[in-house]
Amino acid sequence: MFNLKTFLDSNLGKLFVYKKNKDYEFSLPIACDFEEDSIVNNNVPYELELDPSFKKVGTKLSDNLDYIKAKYHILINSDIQIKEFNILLEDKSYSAFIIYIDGMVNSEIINDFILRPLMLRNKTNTHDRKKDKESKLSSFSLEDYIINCLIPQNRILKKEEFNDIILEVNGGNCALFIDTLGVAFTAEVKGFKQRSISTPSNEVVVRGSQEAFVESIRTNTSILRRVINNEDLIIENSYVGKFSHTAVSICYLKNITNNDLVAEVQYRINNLDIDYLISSGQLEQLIQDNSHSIFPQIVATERVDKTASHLLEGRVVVLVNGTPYALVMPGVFNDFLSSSEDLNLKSQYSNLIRIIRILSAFLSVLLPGIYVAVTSYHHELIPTQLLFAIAATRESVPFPIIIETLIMETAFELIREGGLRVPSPIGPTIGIVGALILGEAAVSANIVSPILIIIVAITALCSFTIPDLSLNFTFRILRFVYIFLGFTAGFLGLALGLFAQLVWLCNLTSFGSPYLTPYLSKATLRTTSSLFVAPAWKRENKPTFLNSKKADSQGKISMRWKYPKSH
Amino acid sequence: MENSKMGVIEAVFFVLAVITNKIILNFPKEIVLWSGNSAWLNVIYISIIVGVLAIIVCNLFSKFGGYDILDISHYLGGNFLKIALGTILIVIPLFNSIDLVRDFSEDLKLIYFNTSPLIFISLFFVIAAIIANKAGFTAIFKTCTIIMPIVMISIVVILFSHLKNFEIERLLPIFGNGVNETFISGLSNISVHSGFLFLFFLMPFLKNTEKYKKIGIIAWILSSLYLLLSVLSLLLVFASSTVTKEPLSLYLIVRTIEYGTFFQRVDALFILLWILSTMTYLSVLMFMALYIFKKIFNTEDRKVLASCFGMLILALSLIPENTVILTTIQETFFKYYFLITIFILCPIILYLASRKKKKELQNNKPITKNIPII
Repeated sequence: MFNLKTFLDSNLGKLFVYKKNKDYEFSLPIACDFEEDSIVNNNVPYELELDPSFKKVGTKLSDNLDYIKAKYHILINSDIQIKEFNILLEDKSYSAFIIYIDGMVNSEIINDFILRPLMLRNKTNTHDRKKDKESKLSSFSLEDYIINCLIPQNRILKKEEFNDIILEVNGGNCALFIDTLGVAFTAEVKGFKQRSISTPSNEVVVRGSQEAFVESIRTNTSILRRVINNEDLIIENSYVGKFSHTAVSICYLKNITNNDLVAEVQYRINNLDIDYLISSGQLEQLIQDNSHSIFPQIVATERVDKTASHLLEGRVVVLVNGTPYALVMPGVFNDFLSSSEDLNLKSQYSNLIRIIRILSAFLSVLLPGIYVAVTSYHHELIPTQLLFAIAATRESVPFPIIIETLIMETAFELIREGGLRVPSPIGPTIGIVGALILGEAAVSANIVSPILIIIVAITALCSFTIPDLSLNFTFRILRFVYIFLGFTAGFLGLALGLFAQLVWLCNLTSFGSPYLTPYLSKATLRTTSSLFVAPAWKRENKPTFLNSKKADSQGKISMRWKYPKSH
Repeated sequence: MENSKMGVIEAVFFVLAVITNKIILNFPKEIVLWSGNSAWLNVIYISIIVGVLAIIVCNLFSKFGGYDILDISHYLGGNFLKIALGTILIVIPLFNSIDLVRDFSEDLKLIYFNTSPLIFISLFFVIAAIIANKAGFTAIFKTCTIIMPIVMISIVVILFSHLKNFEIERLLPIFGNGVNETFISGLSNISVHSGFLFLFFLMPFLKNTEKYKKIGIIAWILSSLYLLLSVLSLLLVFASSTVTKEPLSLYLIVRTIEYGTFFQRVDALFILLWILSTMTYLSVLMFMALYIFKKIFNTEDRKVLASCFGMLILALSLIPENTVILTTIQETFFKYYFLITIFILCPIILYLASRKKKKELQNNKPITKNIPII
C-alpha cells in the first residue's frame, strides 16, 4: 500500500540532504608548505639519508657505497647499476664496486675491459711483483698499479671529489671504487645511442657540405676538428646549469681569435646562475649583449662548413650538448643575410643573390606597410590606371584597409605556423587550406581584395629568402608594426618606424662589434664577411671588426700558379 | 658606445645634416625672395665669405685640439663667459628645432594631412628626436651617416630630372632685385650656414682632431655646392615669383617630375626621404641643445633630459599662431642673431683665446684651465 509519509521521507530526504562530493580531486601543495629538508628526503620512506659533509671519496668502501646509493636514490632509480665484486691481487682480495647508468654505457667494454681484468685470475694480477726488478726501485702503489696494469682503458682518471665522479657517471662513464683507496677511478665506457650525422634540414644549400651538427657535443667537436684540421683549434669545456650540468664547448683558434673576445665569451658563460640549460637557444638569450633587442646578435647554425668558416675568420663558436646548432659570436646584421653558399659560388652569382636577398628583406618588412600607407594617404603615387583598378577591387570589400591587411597577414601567419606543427602525412592539407583561404575563397567572399593577396604573397616569398630563422621572426614582428604606422600616418609613420629602427640598429653591438658592420665602418671589401662577396682570390683579409690576431687570410697573390713572378 | 668618436665621413655628414635640411625646407625660397634672380650670385658670395671664415676658425681651433668653444671660453673668461656663451648659443639649436618642427609639420599638413591636428604631426618628429637622443650620440651620428647620403643623392636626382626644363633666360636680370639685395643686405643670408655652429663643438667628438680642418673644408664645399645647385635649379625651372609662393622649395620641383607615363607623381617618395632627413636634423639639433645644457649646468647624463627637451620643443613650436609669425621672428631677429653669434662672437672668442695662449707660452707661464700646449 502506498505510504505517503515513507515516500516523502525517502525522496525529500534525498533531495535536501548534503552529499559529499566523491569526485577525485588533486591539487599541488604550494611550495611554502614544505620545509626545505622535507623536500630532500626526510618524509619519504624509501629515500636514504645523505651526509652533506661527505664530499671526498673515503677509504672505507661501505661509506662510499652508502653515499652513492643515497645520492642516486638507488631504491627508486631503475637504471642506476651498482656492481659489487672483489678484486684479486696476488694473494689479496679487495672489495670494490662500479657504478654506471644502464643504457648510457657500452656493456661489452665494461665486461671485457673493466670487470674481466679485475675479477678473473690472470697473469697480470697473480704475477709476483717482488720478483721483478722494478719493485726494488719504487714502492708499491695500488692506485697506480690499477691504472697502469690492470685496466686496459685509454681514458682512466683518478678522482677524489664526489661531484666530479657523479659528473662523469652522468655523462655515460663508469666509476670504480676500491676499498682502502681514497680515490675512485672513472673510465670512458660511453655507449649510448645517438643520431648519426645527417644533412642540414633548415639551412639547405646546393653547393656545399651536406654535413650538419648532431646532438652529441663530442661528435660535433670531432666534425669541427676534421674540417679545420689545425692544432691551434682550442675546444674548452665548461658546464652550465646547477642541475643539468650541461656540457658547453667554447671553440676558437688560438693564433687568430682576439683574446678579449674569447675572455668575454668565457666570462659570460661561466657567470650564469641557472638550474638547467636544455638548448643553445636558451644560452643564446642568456649571453647576448642586448636582451631586449628583437634582432638576433648571435648566429645559430647547424652547418659545419659555415661554423668552420666563421672560426677561421677569428670568431668564437659555442657548442651545447644536446643541440645540433652551433652559436657563433659576434654576429652582425650582415651575417644573418648571408648564406654559407655565398662563399662557394662565384662572386657574381653570390652578389646577385645577395642583392635579391637585401631587396627581399626590405620588402618583407615594408611592403604591407607601404601598401596601407599609399592606399590611405598617398594615392597620387599610384599610377592612375592602377589606382582605378585597386579602387574597383576594393569597392566590394566592407573592411577598412588596415583590417583587410591584418586579416590576410594573420591568416598567412596561421598557415605558416600550422604548416610547421602538423604531422607530415597531413602537411599538404595545410597547403590546400591555405590556398583556399588566401586565394579564391577570400576574394569571392568579399573579405579581401585581389591586390592584397598579391601583396601578401610577395611579402611571404620575400620572407622565405631570409636565410636566418631569428631574423625572419624579427621581420615578421616589424611587419605588423609598420602596418600600424602606415595606417596611422602614412609615410610619416613609416619614416618614424624606419628612423627608430635605424637608431636602434646603430646602437646595437654584439660582443663589442657594431651591429651594422660593415655598412658603417671602413671595412675592406676583401673579406669573407663584406657587404658584397669578393672573388675567392681577393678575400685577403679577415673582417676588421673582429680585430683578429692575424689580419690576412691569404697571400696578396693567392693564385701563384698564375703569377709566379710576383713573389 | 657613448664614448665612440667620429671619423671624417661621419663628421662631414653630421654637419651636412643641417645644411641639407635647410635646402629641403625654406632657405632656397628665402634667398630667392630676398635677392630675386640673383639668388645664385648671393649664394656664391656668402659661401665664399663662409669659406674664409671656416678656414680661419679651423686654423684657430687647431691650437685647441680636443676642446670645444665652451671649454675655450672657460679658458678665456672662466665660468662666467662659459655660461654666458652657452646661454647665447643654446638658443640657436632650440629655435632651429622649434622652427623646423612647426614649419615642416605645417607643410606636411598642407600636403597630406589636412584633417589631422598639427600636434599629431609634430609629435612624430619629436618622438623620433627623443628616441635618437635616448640612444646616444653614437646612434645619432651613425644614423646621419646612413640617411644623409641617400637624401643628398635624392637632391641630385631631383636636379637631374629637371635638366630638360632648364631655361637660362630665367636667370636674367643678372642682379635680380638689385646689387644691394645681392651683396650688402644679402649678407644676412649667411645665416643659412648656421650649421657651422656644429664646427665649434665638433672637436671633442673627433677620432683624429688633426682632421678638423679637412672636415670643415669638405663640409663647406659640399654645403655650398648643394645650396647653389638647389637655388640654381629653382631659378632655372621656375620664375622667381612662383618660387616664393610655395611652402617647400624643393617640393615645387619634385611635384613636376615625371618618369615616363607610369610614374607621374613620385613626390611622396621624396617626402619620405625628407621626413627621415628632418628627423635626423631634429635629433642633431636636440643633441646640440642637450650638450650645451649639460656643459652649462654640469649635469651628469644628458639622456634623461631628452624627453623634457622634446616636450619643450613641441610645446614651444605650437605657441605661434601660424608660420608667418615664426618666419617674421626668423627674418627680423634670429637671422642676425645667428650671424652675430656664429660668425662674429665665436671667432672673436677663439681669436682672443689663442692670443692669450700665445702670450702665456711666450712668458713661459703655465697654461691655465687644462688647455694643452700644441
